[in-house]
Amino acid sequence: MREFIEVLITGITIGIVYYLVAVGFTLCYGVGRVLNYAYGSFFTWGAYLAWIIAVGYASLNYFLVFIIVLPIMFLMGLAVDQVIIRPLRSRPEFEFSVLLATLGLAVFLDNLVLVIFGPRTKSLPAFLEGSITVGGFTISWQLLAMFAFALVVAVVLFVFMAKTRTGMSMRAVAQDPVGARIVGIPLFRVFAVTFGISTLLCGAGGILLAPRFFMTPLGGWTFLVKALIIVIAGGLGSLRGTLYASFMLGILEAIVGWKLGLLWVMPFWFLVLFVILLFRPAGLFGATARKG
Amino acid sequence: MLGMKERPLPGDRPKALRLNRQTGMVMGMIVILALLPLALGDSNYTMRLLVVSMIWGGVAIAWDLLLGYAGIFNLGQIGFFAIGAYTSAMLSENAGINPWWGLLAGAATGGIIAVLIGLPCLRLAGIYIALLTLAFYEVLAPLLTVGAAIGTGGKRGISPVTPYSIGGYTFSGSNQVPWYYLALGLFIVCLVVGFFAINSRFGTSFVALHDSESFAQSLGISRYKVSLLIVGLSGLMTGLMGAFYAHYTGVVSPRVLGLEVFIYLVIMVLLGGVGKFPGPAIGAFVIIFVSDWLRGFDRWRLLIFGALVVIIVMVAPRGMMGAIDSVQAAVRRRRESRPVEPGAEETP
Amino acid sequence: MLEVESISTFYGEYQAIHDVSLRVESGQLVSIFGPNGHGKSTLLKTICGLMKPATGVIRFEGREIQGLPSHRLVEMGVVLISEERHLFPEMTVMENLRLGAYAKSARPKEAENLEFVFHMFPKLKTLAKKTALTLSGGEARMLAIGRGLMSNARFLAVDEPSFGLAPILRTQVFEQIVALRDRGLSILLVEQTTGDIAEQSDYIYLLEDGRIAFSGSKDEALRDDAVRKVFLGIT
Repeated sequence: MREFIEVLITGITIGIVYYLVAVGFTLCYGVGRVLNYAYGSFFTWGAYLAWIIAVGYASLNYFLVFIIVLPIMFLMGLAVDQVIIRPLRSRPEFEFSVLLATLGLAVFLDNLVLVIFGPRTKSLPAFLEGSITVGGFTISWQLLAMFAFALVVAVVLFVFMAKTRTGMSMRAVAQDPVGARIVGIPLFRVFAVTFGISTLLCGAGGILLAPRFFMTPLGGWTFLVKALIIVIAGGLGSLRGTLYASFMLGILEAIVGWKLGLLWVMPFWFLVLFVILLFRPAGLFGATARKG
Repeated sequence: MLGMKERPLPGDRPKALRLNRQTGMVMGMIVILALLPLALGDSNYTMRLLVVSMIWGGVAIAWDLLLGYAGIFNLGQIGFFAIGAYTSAMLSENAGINPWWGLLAGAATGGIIAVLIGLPCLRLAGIYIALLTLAFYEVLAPLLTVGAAIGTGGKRGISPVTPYSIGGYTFSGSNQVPWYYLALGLFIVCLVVGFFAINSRFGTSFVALHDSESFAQSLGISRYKVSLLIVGLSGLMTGLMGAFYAHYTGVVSPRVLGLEVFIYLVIMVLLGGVGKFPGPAIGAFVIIFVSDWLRGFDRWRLLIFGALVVIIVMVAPRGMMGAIDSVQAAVRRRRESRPVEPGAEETP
Repeated sequence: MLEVESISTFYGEYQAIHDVSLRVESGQLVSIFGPNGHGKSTLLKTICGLMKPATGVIRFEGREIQGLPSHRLVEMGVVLISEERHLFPEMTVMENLRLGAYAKSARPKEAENLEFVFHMFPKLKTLAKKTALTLSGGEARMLAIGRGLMSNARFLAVDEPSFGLAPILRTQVFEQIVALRDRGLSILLVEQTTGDIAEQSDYIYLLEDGRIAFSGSKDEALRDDAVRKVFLGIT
């Protein structure tokens, strides 16, 4: 029983990190209409950048790693948006083109990692050693730190989206792009910022999860798929759905990993997705997904 | 909606000419490929490349049917390929069935699974089709890996896979010629099916659906049914090639679902030209040979291909065939605007 | 204040507007009438930066503005109130209004304009916390106009503000528009057909098939029989 609670706690923590990753993906599509195939590659880059900084320079200070890597990820996102995505926006087949372009980008970024860092698995050692025992439950400091950091990011994001002008402009563009133009919101700037934030969130997920998963050049793809599943299960465009789905699937992952082994996690995720879609084709909270 | 519809460009040739060009290219390819081994003689290596090109050429055409003509953004095409491959391999290795049946079985399962995927997907908006087919693509590899219990061979896959044999003669790796002509036969099947899917009345009704749903519906055509049919055909062709691939390479494993393979397919179709039959097939040949040419640059190869995809999408989205189209259109325009004096001959 | 010279706008191959010219002087209320689907909305969208004209020039206070993106135009004070409203469905009335003041030129006046909007449409104040999606047709229309006013406009392009509204509300909306004109706003108004607004307009255009079929003062319009009968509904 005790073990179960501890697994639950792990699941909740993973869930909140997955939420960040999934939200980044949702924002990317909801606001910018970009299905970012390179999302997994950004994740990998976040992790590898964290690795360089942590192992090379910052001697494993979580804070520093965050402060240095997150802005880099943001800038990376901006760059990709300006150089690759923006020129494609004028095309009628934009969504299709950008999907293929990001696919090419993904392969490019993945192999860049391969070329620079080599194929062997890297591991980011846990930032914090030791654990704390509270009321009979043992929780590692690492997990707590993960939870804390993710929570901070999530709260900052929430406040940003709800209260700041930029955040509201992003929501506006997602809800009615023409209305946004009418009101004087510069679309291209919003797209750029959104993509930057999306990349940043993805990178944050990468940093937080790196100590937990082994890092390989192709490791990011699992997280693209996970983000995908969370977003579809929760309902495309629904932040609330993403929240619920993240926690649900995070906890599922912890339990399945504990009982059956990590290999079974993905099949179970897909099973849950399938079941959800069977009863709610648009996801838990999705608006109608039907054509017309 | 998502989907790269073949929008008529000002330079596009009228339907009849397009048909002629397609026919010409298809016939040309078949003839050249049929006669090539005579010229190549002993060159097993080159023939191997050609066989692989034909396999992927078929898949490329199948995918383009969905992408370029039906406007269905199916990211799970490789999944059908793998299903065809695994079906055939499992039948021959686990159940001892003659590999020739595997071709049929692979095609059938490819088609059936495709239709099963299509059933829910086709009622949804474009992005959902992309997401769900991507999910399908991603679920296959883990499923096949944990499916060792039902004979998928788990992570290692199935190997060796029995080659074909006809009347006592067993295909082997040392003599590529029988493989070559078998592959050519299958490739021709794909070309022909693709050609008719696009150009028959059924096919044009299909494009009509794409352009104007209400008009097509007034003709009594159900978009849903026609789309399902196309999806099934596409799955069938792909499954067929997958089945052949299994016995040709002698091994199937989850690696066939890897990103490398997928990106190759993407770049083949992009290069050839989405919605520009038979461009994608030509793209397959080009990419296979270029990839072989870059053989030595292992790590860099994918790096280059990735960058290439981005560049093609940004600069030449209609691929080679599109570029040829534009050039021809420009030439035609210049010819038409050149003043002709009365009595003067048109210069050829 | 606003000069439109020979503009043409296309939707792909289809030409919606042919060689249209018009003027709105400062402080005028200019109306454009005409049957539906003949280019009135397209014209407004072109003027306000939602569409690009293929040919022609649009000048606002002497500066050329054709082809500029809409957010720049809003900064200059050229604001569109669209027929389709384009409200933000999942945001509250308050949030919608606040976003109306997004433009830098509108921000310093935000509080002042908000008060003005509530004064003009008291109902909006009571609806402040309601989500735009839940509003009725009339309420949404009010919000659209209110949001447009938050942009601190100097020139308003209003597209069929009374569409789908009950007669009482229509009159109210028109009164508000006239009041705005009286406060110094320049307004270009598009309506399908109505008598009351014609009475108040300083100048009238008739748009048919994407072309100007008639232009003149209100009095000239009233004298033109055909125009009167068919489009102004005045007997």
